[in-house]
Amino acid sequence: MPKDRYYDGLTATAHRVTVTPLGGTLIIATDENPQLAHWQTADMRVIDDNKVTGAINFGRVSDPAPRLVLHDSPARTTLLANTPHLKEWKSRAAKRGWSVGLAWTLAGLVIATGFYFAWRDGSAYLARFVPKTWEQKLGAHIYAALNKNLTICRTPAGNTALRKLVDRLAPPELQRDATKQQDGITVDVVDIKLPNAFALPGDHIMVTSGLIDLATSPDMVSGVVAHEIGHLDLRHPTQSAISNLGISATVSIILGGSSVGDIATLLTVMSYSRKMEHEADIRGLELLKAAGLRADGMAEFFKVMKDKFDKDADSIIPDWLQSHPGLKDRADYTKAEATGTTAMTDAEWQSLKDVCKVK
Amino acid sequence: MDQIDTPQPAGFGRRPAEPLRSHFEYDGRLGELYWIFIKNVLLSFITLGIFRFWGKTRIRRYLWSHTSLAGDRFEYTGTGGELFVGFIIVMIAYVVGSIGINILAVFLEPGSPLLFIVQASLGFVILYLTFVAQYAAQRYRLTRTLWRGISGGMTGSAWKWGFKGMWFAILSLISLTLAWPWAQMRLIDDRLNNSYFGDAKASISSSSKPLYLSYIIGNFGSLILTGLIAYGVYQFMMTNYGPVLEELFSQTPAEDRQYGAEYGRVFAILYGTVVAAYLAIIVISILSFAAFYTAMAREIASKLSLGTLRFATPITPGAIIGRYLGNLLIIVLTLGLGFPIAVHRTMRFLVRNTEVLGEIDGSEITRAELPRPKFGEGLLEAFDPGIM
Repeated sequence: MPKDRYYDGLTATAHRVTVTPLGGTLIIATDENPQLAHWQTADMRVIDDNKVTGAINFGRVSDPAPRLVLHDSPARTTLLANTPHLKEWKSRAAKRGWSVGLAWTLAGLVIATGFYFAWRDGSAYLARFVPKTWEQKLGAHIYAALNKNLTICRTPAGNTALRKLVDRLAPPELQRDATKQQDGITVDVVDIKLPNAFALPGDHIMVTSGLIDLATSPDMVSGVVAHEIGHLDLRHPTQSAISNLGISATVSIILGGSSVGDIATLLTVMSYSRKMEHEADIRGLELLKAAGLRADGMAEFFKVMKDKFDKDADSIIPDWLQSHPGLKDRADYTKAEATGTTAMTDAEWQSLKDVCKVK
Repeated sequence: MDQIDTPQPAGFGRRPAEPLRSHFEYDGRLGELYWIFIKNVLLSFITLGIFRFWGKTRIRRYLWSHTSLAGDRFEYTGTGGELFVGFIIVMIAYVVGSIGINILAVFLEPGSPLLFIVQASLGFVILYLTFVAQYAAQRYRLTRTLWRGISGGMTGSAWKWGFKGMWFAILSLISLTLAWPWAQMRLIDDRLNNSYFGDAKASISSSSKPLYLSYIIGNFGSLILTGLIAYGVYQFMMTNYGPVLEELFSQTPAEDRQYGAEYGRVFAILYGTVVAAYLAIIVISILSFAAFYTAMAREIASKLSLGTLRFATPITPGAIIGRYLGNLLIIVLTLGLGFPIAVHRTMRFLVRNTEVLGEIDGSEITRAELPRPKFGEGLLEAFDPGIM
């Protein structure tokens, strides 16, 4: 009793068939109809074979639906012997699997690399097109949050001294100018012992009291402030916000959670890349020179920082893996002549040193 | 027309008045399934998980091709690429949406009503998409299933059905889940009434009445038992380790702490107890709802028809408990390596508990050109409650 079956793909009928290979054609016949169908062997493909029943399931390349299920028989043996692409279907399928897999893997690598570079360099490019008003809105949130949680030091003389320094260093587009509707830079001293300074979106600069304590001359402070203005001038806050936005989206995909509202947190701990730090150092030096101020304070400050924090000069983490360029490197490449005027008068410097001591 | 040469054994010896009764048959072998599974795990590992779409397809191909009805085998015609592209499309939409919401969160005032609306509606959007995903996945699987050269299909809109599903889920919550059996049956009816094999349409008009008694008993039973377990865990921990735990979770300054040395041990015991309680709760819900799922399967089987065929199921609560509890134990005890065993058992469970009544003659059923989605199941990957 023949167990071979043919489904024509038009009705759900199981035809019991016998097959006869004849040249490049397979004749499919039932008892009633000796010419039920003709399949070109070149048009045939193997769908799968069944280890349980030993049957092979054939389909056609030109039509997705019809099927022919053949058990082991002399006719099938002849068919396979005369049609190599059917006989070798397993190794062909495996070959195809490997090449498709390899192609996908390569495509994935290319796309991932493309994303990496597009992200790194694209954020700098995109930042130029983000309107300043957006950045100010974002900055206003962060500034308000920081104001609420940190102690801001204010004395009339100390703030005036710092203000004067910023006004001398800032390039024209960052100057306060009512006619051009520019708000300019705001600068504050926050009462934090750790020496640090940061540039926030919306042209805010914050300097910690620890940094002013550590500085041994006003020129060191002017070096740091120039560096931060450099960040602002180069639109680094926006650039970093764009890449952090992407990173937060990526992280939330990987972890499968939504990160609504996390962005504000992310931006407060926002760090700039090594490349941005380097650019800001160079831009800061240019600003110092343009303002006619002594430019050697920046390198001096890096040395002071290195002596205080970096006693084991060669830390375990290689320099190129750290997010900030190493302090020694920075001190080297920012080295400048001690020409130009000092950033502040002695009275101004003293009032800045006292800004957090008066309660 | 040719007759099929394998009349179903169960059909013999019955009175002529009783309709012919056939079973699906599954003849897959565990060893072969395991071999596919092991290759999938290794390749998924090497490809950082991307191979899983192709792996899933390989498993389905095997299961489909080893399942037959009336001597004719099923065939799964989906591809891994379709699943992968579907997943990528959903992920791109997800990234764009997530960036959009982040931008909103940055530029709107923290207390702004618009932001509140966006954040509050996010939960609804996810709930909505889980329903859309279920419908779309059923359509994908039906269109990728071939039997006797004819494929399944599905009409209707997943997006519309998603709204209905979400609305019914909210209704069920408002009714303290009492509306759930009714809502569930309405939703299943919709999906089945839109399902086709060739041009033969499935048809069902089910009632939720037979489900209610078992649902209410199961619901309250599991609530009470879950409450008892939670209380038991609390009592056990507090009687044995009360002072340590109180100090551990208090604001006591470090210098005043007395039990510092015991924190690790007590924390491990707490963790173990909670995991055990969690497993116990799953077991309880399987036991409590077994009768409900039995009633549900029987209702669907007795009301469903496809062309001239009707259906029946000999399912019992014991069979349901055996399947789910057994699979749970296998997966947990083997840390997931018993997955093929669970799949194998599930297939055998399904074929054992599905009976087709009537003479299976496909000559009346013809190919139907129903819409065939190009990509598969991306939404289900992303929003399947089983994954989350």
